[in-house]
Amino acid sequence: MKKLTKLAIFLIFSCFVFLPLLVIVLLAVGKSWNYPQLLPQQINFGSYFKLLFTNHELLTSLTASISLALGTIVLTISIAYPTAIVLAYYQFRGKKLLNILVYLPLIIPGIALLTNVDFMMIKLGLDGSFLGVISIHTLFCLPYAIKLLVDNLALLHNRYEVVSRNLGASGWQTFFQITLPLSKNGLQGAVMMTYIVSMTQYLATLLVGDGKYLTLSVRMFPFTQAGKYKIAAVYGVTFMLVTLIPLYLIDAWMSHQERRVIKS
Amino acid sequence: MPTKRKIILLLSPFYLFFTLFFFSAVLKSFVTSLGYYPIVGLKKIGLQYYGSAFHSATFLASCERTFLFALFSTAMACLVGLGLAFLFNGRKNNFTRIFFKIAQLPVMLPHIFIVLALLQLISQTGLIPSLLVHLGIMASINHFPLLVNDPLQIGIILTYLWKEIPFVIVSLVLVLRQMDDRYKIVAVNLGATKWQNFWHISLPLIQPALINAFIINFAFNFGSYEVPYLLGNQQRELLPVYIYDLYVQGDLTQLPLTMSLNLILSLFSILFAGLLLKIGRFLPGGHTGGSK
Amino acid sequence: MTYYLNNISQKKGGQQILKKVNLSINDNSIFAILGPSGSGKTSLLNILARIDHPTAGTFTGDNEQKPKGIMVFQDYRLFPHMTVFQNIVFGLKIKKIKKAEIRQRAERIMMTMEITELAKRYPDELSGGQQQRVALARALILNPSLLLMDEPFSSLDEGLRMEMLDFVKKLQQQFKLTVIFVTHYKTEAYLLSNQVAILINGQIMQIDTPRKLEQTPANLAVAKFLGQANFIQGSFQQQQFVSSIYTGDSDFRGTEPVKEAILYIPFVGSVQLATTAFPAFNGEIVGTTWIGDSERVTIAVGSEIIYLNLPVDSVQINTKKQFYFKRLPVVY
Repeated sequence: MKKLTKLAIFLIFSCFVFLPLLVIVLLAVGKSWNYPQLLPQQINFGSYFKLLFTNHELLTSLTASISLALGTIVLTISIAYPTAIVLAYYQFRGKKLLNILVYLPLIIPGIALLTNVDFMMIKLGLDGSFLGVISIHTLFCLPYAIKLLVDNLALLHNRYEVVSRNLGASGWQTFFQITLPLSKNGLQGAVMMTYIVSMTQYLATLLVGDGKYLTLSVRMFPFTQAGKYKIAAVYGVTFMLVTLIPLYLIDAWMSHQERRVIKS
Repeated sequence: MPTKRKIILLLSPFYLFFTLFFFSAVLKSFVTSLGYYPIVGLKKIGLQYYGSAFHSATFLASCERTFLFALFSTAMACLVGLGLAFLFNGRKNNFTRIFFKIAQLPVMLPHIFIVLALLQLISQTGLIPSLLVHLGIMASINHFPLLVNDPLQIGIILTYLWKEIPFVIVSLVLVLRQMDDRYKIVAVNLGATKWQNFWHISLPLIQPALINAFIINFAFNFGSYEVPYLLGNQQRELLPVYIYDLYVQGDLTQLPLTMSLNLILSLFSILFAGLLLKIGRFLPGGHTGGSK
Repeated sequence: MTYYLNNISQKKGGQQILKKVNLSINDNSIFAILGPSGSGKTSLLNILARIDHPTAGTFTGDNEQKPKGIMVFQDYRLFPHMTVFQNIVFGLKIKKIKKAEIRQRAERIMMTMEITELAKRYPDELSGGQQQRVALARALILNPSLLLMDEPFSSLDEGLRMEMLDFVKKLQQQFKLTVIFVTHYKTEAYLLSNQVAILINGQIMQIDTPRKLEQTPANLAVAKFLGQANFIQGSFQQQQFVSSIYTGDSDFRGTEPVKEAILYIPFVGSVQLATTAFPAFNGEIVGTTWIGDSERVTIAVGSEIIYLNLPVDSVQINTKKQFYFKRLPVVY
């Protein structure tokens, strides 16, 4: 009986998660799905893929999303990694304060932070620039990236670094031979999370990007608002294709690697 | 290299970035909120904008509404997420592994996704009303309650739950897995029942992670713009929409007021988060919670 | 009351961890289970603590059908989010015992364990020895009749270990406890207990007093595990052990006459200089090392090297001596 309740809860939760996704996929590939029909009259995957490869707007959105995400990853990791190493390995004055600072972008209400930063971006002349947009994305990615990296590094602490230095390796050799390989899992997590956070940003991209970076999530917004659900769903499905599939593949590959290590 | 110099060197990217885009932004907003905005000829420095903010009935009402809304939706997400995380946290079980994978999905997708799906599903011309009419449960779609742009903000709450229940599950399951059965076994050996085990051991140990998830979700629900804009009720406007409209309307003389509202909100959120952390410290699990 | 382990077997993932373990343990005593790591000691304790179920067999008591031992874990496992006081009273609190009684019992046990002043501290603020006392208090406050200890002293340093050993002995007498503890240090087992069971590869190999164990291990596996002995290769023919250093009568404990046999000569208490009816070998002293109460003497007998612990200054280096077995030597 208890097993059955558990199964029921599992099924309800799955429906809760999958139903909206199913609706979006059906919207994107369905034809003439109008009220009050319960299901689209026709399903046509071909038309979706044709749109994906020929629609100029969709393709520019896709490139904008991915290039911003990649830029954000580079910027985020180059800031988060050294910060995480310090937070995980060293005791110093002001550590507590730094720990709070890192999380401030998540605690301050988005609307307040965004208008504040946008105001500053205009002043700095970065409004509407690539650097400006990836900087605001980075601001929201840093808390997650730093947390994931610190957790991973703190697990091992710096005992292996100490061994390496004791055996005669230089600081840089230790970093490349020991620290970097050991933080592979943390880096993977941080990169994946940064990719997700950057891809899903809406208002930050619109406001700081001055409307010049119409990413997939930015474009979905006006279409949804205007009731053009089908075209919004086309963007949505494209979003899923470029986030879920690569992330799933990376995850599967990593766990396969881990299993191989354990076996050998 | 001496440790101190190394630390400074490693932290410099972070501080440089934060100085450029965070501190300076907050500082500039602060100066502006005090009334110093020379571009439009405003130079009188004072607290007049804060005063008018606290005297604006619209702002205060919106504040209260948004706070209660955010509190309620966050509590729901945390409660349901907590329950589900405890039901499905095994690492070895295939069933719970699949559950964890499913829970990760909504975390990876933007809010606009669920907004779009909700509009298609539960607006009055949506699929669920149509289905109910088809099945004869409802006579006409007009009987279906208004769930989007409704006064109770049900559409927004559903959206946030879809995103945040999974977020809570993912954060808690990671902690629960790390904890494994070590302390549970001791408690059982000392005579604890399943329920006592949950109440005295597991819950306190994940309390800090739960509080963190609560703070992050609360800040989001309190201060994010897009979902209330699309699914909110115009008569009962939520704060982010109010501020966004004020910011983009183009009247530069209103900017100091906007900035003072922003800073009031930021300060409030920080204090509220601090309060939650203090409470967490005081509750069981506050010391060395979250297994090491 | 006496506790009985009846034919307990444990299988995990196709691996046989325990094989038909039979033991009877008298109450009001300390019983040691000694074995190398991976021998199944912790699995056995988990069964006695009812943390785990055996695949076969039962654990019973004279006047209790399902006795349950209270365990003190090797890593102590103090709940990290509770103070020392909260940790100690956990077992009482969940039984919904009255606050006043809880307080009284906690004070008494903290006094006994000499940890009263630690009551408000958290586990991460305690030393290893203090953590162990708290873990013991947390178990003893429940007045258990059976206390289980998993490698209780392995993470303590030398001085503290001796202190805790005595302390546990004292507690056992004071609380009239039955203590079962597992360890892989034989000295710990010998110091604490008169009855030691040897567990190797999931099987109880021998149950004896420490002295009997050292003098006559039941088989080669036990002898090898106990260590501190010379193992001389030879053969067993016509009721005689034959090897390069000793040929003659022996206390043969092998299963059947085989070509390959091994002579067991522990470093301590097996061979002496004073004459007995069992001449052993003639060897040259090639080295001595002072090890406190005695001297580790290295003896060359032909091409073999033999080590013995002898009284300090009983032999001179570079001299030849005749040695005698104290009793008939054991051969496997």
